[in-house]
Amino acid sequence: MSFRVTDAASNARLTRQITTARQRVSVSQEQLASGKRINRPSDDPVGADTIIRLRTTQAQLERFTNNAAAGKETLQLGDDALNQYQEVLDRARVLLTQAATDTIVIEAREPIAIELDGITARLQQLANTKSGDYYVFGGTRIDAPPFDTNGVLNTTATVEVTVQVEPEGTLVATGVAAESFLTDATGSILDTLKAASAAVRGTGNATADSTTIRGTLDRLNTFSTLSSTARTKIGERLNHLEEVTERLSQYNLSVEQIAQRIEGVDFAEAAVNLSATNTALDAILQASAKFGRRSLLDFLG
Amino acid sequence: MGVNFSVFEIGRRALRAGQTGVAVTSHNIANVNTPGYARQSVQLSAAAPDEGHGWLLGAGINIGTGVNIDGIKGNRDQFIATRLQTETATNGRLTAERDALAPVEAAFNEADRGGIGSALKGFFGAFRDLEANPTSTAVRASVVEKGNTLASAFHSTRARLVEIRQQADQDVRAAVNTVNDLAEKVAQLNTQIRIAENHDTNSSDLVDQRAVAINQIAEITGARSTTNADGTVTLTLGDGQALVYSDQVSTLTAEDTPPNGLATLKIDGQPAVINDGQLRGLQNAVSGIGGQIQTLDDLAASIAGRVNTVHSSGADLNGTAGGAFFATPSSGPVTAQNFDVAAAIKTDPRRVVAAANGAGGGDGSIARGVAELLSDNTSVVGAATGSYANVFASLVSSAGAAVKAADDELVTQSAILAQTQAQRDSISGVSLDEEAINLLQYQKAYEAAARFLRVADEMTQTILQLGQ
Repeated sequence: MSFRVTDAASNARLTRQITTARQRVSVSQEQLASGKRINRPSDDPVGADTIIRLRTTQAQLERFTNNAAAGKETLQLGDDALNQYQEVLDRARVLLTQAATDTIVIEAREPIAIELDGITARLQQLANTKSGDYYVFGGTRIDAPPFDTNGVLNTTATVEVTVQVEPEGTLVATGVAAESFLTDATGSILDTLKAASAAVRGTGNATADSTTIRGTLDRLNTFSTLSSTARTKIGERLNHLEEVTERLSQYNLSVEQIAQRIEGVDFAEAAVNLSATNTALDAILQASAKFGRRSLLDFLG
Repeated sequence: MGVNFSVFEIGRRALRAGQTGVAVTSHNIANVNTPGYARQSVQLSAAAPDEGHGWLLGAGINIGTGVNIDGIKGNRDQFIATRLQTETATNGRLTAERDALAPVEAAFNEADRGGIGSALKGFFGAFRDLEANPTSTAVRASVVEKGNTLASAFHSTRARLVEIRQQADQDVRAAVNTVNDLAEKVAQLNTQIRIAENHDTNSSDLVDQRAVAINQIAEITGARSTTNADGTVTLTLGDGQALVYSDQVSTLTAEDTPPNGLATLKIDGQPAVINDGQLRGLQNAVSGIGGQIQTLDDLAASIAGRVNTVHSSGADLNGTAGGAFFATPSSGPVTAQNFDVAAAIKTDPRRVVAAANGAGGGDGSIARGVAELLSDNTSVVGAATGSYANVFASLVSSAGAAVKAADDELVTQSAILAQTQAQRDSISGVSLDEEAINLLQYQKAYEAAARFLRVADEMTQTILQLGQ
């Protein structure tokens, strides 16, 4: 006997076809409305897994970028301070060169000494530059500045503040250590200038004073070299952070692209799908309304 | 009976056959939409010749005595009925599993970024901020806030999972009650069918009702049926335990089982083995959700443990040795339920540690250490090892995969089920076209029989007039 098609079977099939067509329309609509191919993990579990990981990576990259920006600000402050520091050192050198001249009259020495005292105070201020709660050259030690109020250099070794700015990347210091440029083998810049100022005023021993002033001039060269080395370091660190920021941005972009490729919907395709699924649904509805419900009983008088 | 009157008997039988045919046809038409109805047909046979009339026509010449109605038979195929039960059971299992698991992926709330995933990113990200601003009390307050957010994300997600599991458990209990009612019905129908068959009466409608009940039981429990010689059926569960045997019913019970009070199924006090049907699907869902709750608890415990270890190794903003960031429960392990920021930290954010011990307040290495934990691949979470970000991603995607697997299988299964139903319909279903033809056929037969009776009547009149 051939396969009998009964009314109930036809109805069941029609119901199933309409349900399936409506489901397809609904999926297309959701994709088009949300712009996402994956609207819940079950839409594509593997893709969803990747998306969650990628979004975590992106969140981390965002924090790294923030940290790099904060590091750059601190380094910029340090760079400015060192720039001024060098200018002030240069001025001190000019003054001491004048003071070293044997012909200088005693009256002219006092203003030089006063200016040197001012320079000393200014250098102390620059060495103690703060960025928020930090001393830019004080490292992790925030309770004591590099120079205390008496101008005595803190003898504890400075631990540079570091931040991580890249996944698995090396740490970047956001300053330079005070002792790397504020002191030479003999003593601190402040002690040196204070001694020079005293010598300019005259201690009573002209020969010794002259030796002190000349000696200070030599040491100022050393300090200048030390500070430009420190500035170079800061410059390098700034450059590094610039590069890292650029890399982070590139990285973030490529992560976003991958995420979009996995998660995003192709709008043209989704629109075509929506139209196709709608057409299919219409066709099923129309066909069933027109032809689906006939039986022999309709034709018997 | 006289020879001339025997034709009236033939006519009477023919009329009755026609009437019965119309009645059965109308019964079929009436039940065209009744679920489980098997179309019925009249079983007719030619009545044998009456031996006593041989003398009239001569030896060896016999005339039949009309039509016999042997009975009314339902059209059904036992093989397809059994297949339908199996396919219905599998369909029930997959539907129940998908429906019970679908809310789970929503519970993780990943799409809206309000769930554990975004809380994890926020919390460890706040420590990354603290690394760059180790002296800031504002960032510390933010760290504590993000810790609270993470805690509440853990609490609400776990509570939602427990609720979903509870719902599935409730469904198990409700299904058990339905099965017991249906089993009772099958047992009663067994008795009625046995009596009907003993008395040779039409039991087709009862058999249909029983088939519907059996299908419903199969959909819930995956039970198999076997038909016995007396017309009754035996329903058996997974390992052959009888749910219904003749008129005997074994009651299925759902017993509360510690530690969660979830239902364990017993039949007559013995553990019930359910291999298919909605109950299997629900049991799968309950154990699947249980695994997810466990993973969530493991994740919470691991995060609390590792963060506390790193955190307490440093010094806080006051320079004193750091304490635990997350609270340690007074008894038992940290779970997603009791996961919380330590009270001391909540009341004083200055207690949040950023610096290594003795490294000075400007150090952010401990904050960095905590921030790094998010993507540290060596974290041990339960039986898994991997970064917290990955463990959580796997948890969410596996919840999605379970729904997708059930959904995909269900697409195939519903096609198989529809095909099986179509096969059953092909044999048992009512076709209105056929019934219209049958109606015409029986009507015409009835008209012909009536016409024939008129002829017989006229013949009888003719004979009677001879005597006048």
